[in-house]
Amino acid sequence: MKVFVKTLKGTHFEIEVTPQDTVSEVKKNIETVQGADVYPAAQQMLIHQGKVLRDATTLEENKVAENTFIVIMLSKSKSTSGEGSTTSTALSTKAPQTSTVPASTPPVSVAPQAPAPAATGALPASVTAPVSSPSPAPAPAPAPISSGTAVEGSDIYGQAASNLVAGSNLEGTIQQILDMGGGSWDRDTVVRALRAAYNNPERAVEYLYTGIPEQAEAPLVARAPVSAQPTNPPADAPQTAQPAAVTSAGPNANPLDLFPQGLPNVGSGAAGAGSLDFLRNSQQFQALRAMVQANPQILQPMLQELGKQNPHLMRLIRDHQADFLRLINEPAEGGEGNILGQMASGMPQAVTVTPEERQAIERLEAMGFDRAIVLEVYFACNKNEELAANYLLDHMHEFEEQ
Amino acid sequence: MGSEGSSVVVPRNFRLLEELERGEKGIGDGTVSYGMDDADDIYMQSWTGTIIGPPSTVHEGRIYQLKLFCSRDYPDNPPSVRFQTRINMTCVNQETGVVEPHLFPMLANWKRERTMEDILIQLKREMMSPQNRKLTQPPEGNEESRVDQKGLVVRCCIV
Repeated sequence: MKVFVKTLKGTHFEIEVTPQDTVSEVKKNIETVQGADVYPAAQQMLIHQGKVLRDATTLEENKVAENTFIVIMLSKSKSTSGEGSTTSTALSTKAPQTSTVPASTPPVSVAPQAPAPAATGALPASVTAPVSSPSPAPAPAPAPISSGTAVEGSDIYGQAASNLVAGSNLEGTIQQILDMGGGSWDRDTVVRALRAAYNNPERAVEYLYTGIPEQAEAPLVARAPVSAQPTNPPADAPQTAQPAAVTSAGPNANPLDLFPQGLPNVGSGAAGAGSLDFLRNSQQFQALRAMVQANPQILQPMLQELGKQNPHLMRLIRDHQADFLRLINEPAEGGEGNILGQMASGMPQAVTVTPEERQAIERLEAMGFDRAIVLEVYFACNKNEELAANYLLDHMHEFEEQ
Repeated sequence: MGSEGSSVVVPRNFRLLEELERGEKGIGDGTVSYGMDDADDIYMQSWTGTIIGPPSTVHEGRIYQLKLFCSRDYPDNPPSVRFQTRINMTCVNQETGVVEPHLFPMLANWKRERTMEDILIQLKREMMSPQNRKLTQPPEGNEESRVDQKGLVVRCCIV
């Protein structure tokens, strides 16, 4: 009969066998048909309907019928087949009938060789870290500081005015600061501190203790001019009562006083330069003056740049434009030049106060502004009545506050 | 025996005869084969199956013999499957060789349309799964020890 032999590679072939052939003979038959190198008989394993065929059994015993299929497979070991045949022979010899009865194999008590490890998942523990937010420290009230600054500003202006009137006072101040330091500061340091503080003794001493800050000079300048305005109204009252005391008052009161009184030019010159005299000692102003004298065209952009950095100083310069121009045009030489310059600038100031200008000043006062403010603005605008009127109207709120 | 409805319910014996015929014809790639254990069994309960170890795994070159027992309620209930050959697999009991239904999804979620061939094919796929392809296997030849023990039982019966 024909039997189909199926290989694991998917191919199959036929062999001619008889029911009485043993499995060993079938293996030899396959070896003959396919070749000893492809399917050696010793390594063949035949499977039929879920059973591995034993070499000693016959095809009839394994119920291999006509046109059925057998799966062939090559095994790796040869001793297994031999042992199998031996055992099968023993079974057949001893109990040929009971071998066909299915019996359950007793359980084999063998310890498992590869126990699967149980995967134990650790429970995730989430701990929330407490977040402590420190409370911010309360900020100090700004009101007391501003009032203190205002008071200091007022003192600064008064001190500066009194110190700058005469040179002997400046020397006295330097000597007092030297005595206060007890020898820890030298004269050059004291002079430099006074210049940085615009000849204000209190601020100069503060600079000597904490160091002279270069960048802090600009904000300090902004405070002194703001406080300069309140000192003008009280200066007018003693002016009418005691003309002699006006010499140490605000510089803006001098033109009015010069006109009826006719005071000496030297005194008016010194008082006139008082408001802007602190710029004279500033190194920055000296450098600016040198550049402007060398190249006068850069004065306008320089002033614009200065206005951006220090609006208050710019306003002060606008208020005393004549004095500022005089300072710019002043030669950098010794005191004689300064004295001559002051005398020369003093005379035109007195001469130019004409009746027409006086009437213009009276008209500006009729608009409701204070006389001192009118005089200041009028001369800052180069005696231009229209410009002065516009300036007074634009900055009305500032003058009212002061 | 057939019940009225949308689908025809095939009786148990006809189903088993159909499976027997498929087993004899050898449909498939030949790596799994099965047949009745005893041709004289009227109820066709005891079956034998063979799985050839798939390549590229530790099971390569091995032939695993199994016993499948189809009770009276087959195919409504799955058959019990037991490995005669020693094997180390995650879904097989090491001592008894029984395939645990709760570890083998095909037996746990049994469907009427499944066949014993499907069980054998799925077991072969299980051998190729990542957790089973690398497991250390017992030494070959233990198959004979089972037969020996079986022979011993037979000898005791004789005595």
